[in-house]
Formats: sequence, structure tokens, C-alpha cells
Amino acid sequence: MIILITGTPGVGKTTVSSILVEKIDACIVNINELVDEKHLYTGIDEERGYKIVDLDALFNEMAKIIKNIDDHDKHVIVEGHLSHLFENSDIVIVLRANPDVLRDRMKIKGWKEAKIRENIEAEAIDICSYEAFEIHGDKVHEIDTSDIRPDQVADLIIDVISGDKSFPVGNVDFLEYLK
Amino acid sequence: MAEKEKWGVANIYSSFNNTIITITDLTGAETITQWSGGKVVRADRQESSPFAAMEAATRAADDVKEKGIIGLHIKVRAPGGNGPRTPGPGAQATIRALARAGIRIGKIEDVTPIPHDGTGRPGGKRGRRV
Ligand SMILES: Nc1ncnc2c1ncn2[C@@H]1O[C@H](COP(=O)(O)OP(=O)(O)O)[C@@H](O)[C@H]1O
Ligand SMILES: [Mg+2]
Repeated sequence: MIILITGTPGVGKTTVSSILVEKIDACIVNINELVDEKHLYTGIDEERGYKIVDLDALFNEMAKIIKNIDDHDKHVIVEGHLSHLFENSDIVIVLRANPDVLRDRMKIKGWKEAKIRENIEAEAIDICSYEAFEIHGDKVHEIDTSDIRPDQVADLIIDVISGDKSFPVGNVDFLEYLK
Repeated sequence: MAEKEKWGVANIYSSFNNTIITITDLTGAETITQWSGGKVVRADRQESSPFAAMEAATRAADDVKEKGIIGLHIKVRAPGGNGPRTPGPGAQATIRALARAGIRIGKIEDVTPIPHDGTGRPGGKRGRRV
């Protein structure tokens, strides 16, 4: 299965994915590492200081990696806040965190206030889950991680993969935080 | 005696479930009124309908007209709009409702935030005119 794990930066994608691979037979593709390693960017966004990802090159690279996995029982976890823009998936998990909690998680990373603020707005208006739903429809599940530990998030993802649980898009709503 | 024409700024936040419209003075310092789809329709599932967004916009328009404001510049924060399934109330319905309520519409800017850590997507210019 191809499992895309997306969500606003700071929600816990990398942390949760690293726990997940210890629990299920899977390999991880970390998009940020892949972009660095293969230079899949076209330049730098001067205003915000991020590498502008070459999406076509990234998706080509992702497709190549998936094709080269010969063990067909193995799950492929692709994690990164752009992963949901990749059209090929079996399950898409959007990790969510309420803006107060997300702010604390982003502060650990030492980010500047402007960067924190913009990502919080992105979280509050559902950018990742909205886009994921537009592309992947009912394959998308949103998990609110605000009040649970990373290992509990990983267990919920396993429940989604096995079909035991479902968290349809729209079950998480943080828009009120912008008031 | 012609009074000086007063303008404001309408910030439209549109998500999967809901739309919030916050109207401020031109500096952004003073909030004049705020309405959400969830405030005008109580039934949980209906707050995401375009009807709710338009209703919120109409109430906001009434409030600002009362304050003597005749026109609004628009700042939109809204995801998506490109895929085969576009959900949610959408910012466009909100803007149309403001215009229909007799408000003059000025500059419309797309200031949709861009999720970013060390990487981000292309096309990340804030304040695009739409
Ligand atoms: N469920 C959680 N509860 C508490 N802290 C968390 C949780 N998930 C992640 N974190 C913490 O939040 C920070 C950001 O996590 P990270 O995995 O780097 O996010 P992402 O990869 O989505 O940007 C880290 O310090 C991590 O330890
Ligand atoms: Mg990460």
C-alpha cells in the first residue's frame, strides 16, 4: 500500500512515521530529505527562506522509488507536507493539531514568529486536508493529534490501514482559532 | 454636503467546514464586525454550505453600511479550488454576496498562507491580485 502522511509542518509527521516503521513492514520516504539529496528544487523563496520544490521532479522520483520496491507486501510511507499532492495513493493520512498545540511544537524547532503564524493560518483553514480531499477523496483521513502521544497516533494510523477505524475529512475544525 | 467615502477591509477565511468574514478599518487595527457561517446557521452540517457563507456576508454588509462604510477591499485566505472535488463554501460566494448587498468591491488579494518548513511549494507570492 502507498500511504501518504501529510499535514502542516510541525504536526508530527516525521516523529509518527519513525514509530510507524517499527510497528509495520514499511519503508519511509521523507520528502524533505529526498528534495535535499536529489536537489529537487528550483530556487529559494526569498520572502520565507524555503527551497521551492520542483513538484514534477519530486513526483517522478517518488514514482521511481515506489516502482523499485520488489517486495509487494511492503507498505510505502511517504511523509511530508507536500505528499498529498502526489496522485497515487491507497490511503492519505492528514495529521492535525490545534493551533495552540501546533505553536508549541513549532517553537521547539526554533521557528520565527512570521513562519509560525503563516503555518498556523494554513492549519486553521485546512489547507492540507482540503487539497488532499480534492485529489484523493474518501481515501483521506484526518487525525487530530492535539491530545495524544505520537505512539498513539501511530496506532490509529494502523487501525485506518487495517480498515478498523475511519476519520473522514471534515471531522477536524480549527477555524474558530482565527477569531 | 458630501461626506468622505469610507472604506474597510474584509478578511475572508474559508475552510473545509466553514467561512469567517472579519471586517476591519483600513489599517487592520480595529475590527468592525465578524460573522461566520456557523453563527448564522446552527445546524452543524450546514455551516459549510455556500448559503451559510453568503448569509454571513450579508449580515456583515448590514453592519458596515450602518457604520457608513461604502466599499471593501478583500483579502482572501482559502485553500484548493483546483481538484475534481472542491468542497466547502468558497470565498467567491462570500464576495458575490457582499457586492449584491450594495457594497463596492475594491482590490481583491489572495493572501492564502503557504505551509512551509525547509521546503515549500512554488508560486508562493503573498498578496497576489485576483
Ligand atoms: N503527538 C505529539 N505530541 C506531542 N509532541 C509531538 C507529537 N507529535 C510530534 N511532536 C513533537 O512536535 C515536534 C514536531 O514534530 P515533527 O515530527 O518534526 O513534525 P513534522 O515532521 O510534521 O514537521 C517535535 O518536537 C515532536 O517531538
Ligand atoms: Mg518532518
